[in-house]
Amino acid sequence: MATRGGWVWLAAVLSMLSGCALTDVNLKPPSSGLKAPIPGGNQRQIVVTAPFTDSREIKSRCGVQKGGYGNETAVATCQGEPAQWLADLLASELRASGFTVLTAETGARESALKLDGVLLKIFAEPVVGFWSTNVETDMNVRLVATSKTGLKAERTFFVKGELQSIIWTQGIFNDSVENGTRDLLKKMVEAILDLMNQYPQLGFKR
Amino acid sequence: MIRLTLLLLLGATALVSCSTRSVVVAPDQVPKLNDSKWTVTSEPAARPR
Repeated sequence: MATRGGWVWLAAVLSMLSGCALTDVNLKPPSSGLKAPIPGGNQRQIVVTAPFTDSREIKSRCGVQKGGYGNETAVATCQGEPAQWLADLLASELRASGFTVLTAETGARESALKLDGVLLKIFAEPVVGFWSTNVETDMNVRLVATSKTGLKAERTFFVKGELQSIIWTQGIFNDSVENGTRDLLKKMVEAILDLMNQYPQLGFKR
Repeated sequence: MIRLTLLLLLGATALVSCSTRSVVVAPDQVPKLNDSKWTVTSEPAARPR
């Protein structure tokens, strides 16, 4: 009934359908921040410490690649240090919002807001479904805001970048990371604006 | 015939199985992991007039 040719054909089809994704994925940081910056910085001074402290539980990789059955087939690694590029992207997003951003406290005003970030998680993973797959990227950052004038505040941000597709190649992973990063940047900049509006003495000249 | 049927069943079962999350959290957990406001433990001094 089943000829030798039939078995070979069946094996080939099953192999293709299994979606063997054996190649490691290299996650790239987004090349730019928000498409439309959030205004409101008014030249107030902020010091952004770079890189963020890397306190991830899993530091050896930034995600996992899966086959068509949801089995782990390869790893996803970050290009560069995510704790560095997230700090750099936040600094450039704050500049785009109109803040005066410094990288060190030297020369900063007494009232300048200082931001220290802690990277708690960045992990991309395909969640394989019947019809399509959702590549989800979890990103978790804690910001600690201080000033020489006595402020001490902190806030934790958690976002999930998502991208649904019938294939999940490196480009799809990168788009998922980009979605997550932009969501994270938006949440952080809005929160910083809230904090500085709550304490308008922060960052201005005396 | 039996071997072919078993193989087809195995393939079909594998194809309909969906993967679960191993490290990422379920989407409904995200709001719980997000602080809705700053925790301020010390306020800055007021601007001198």
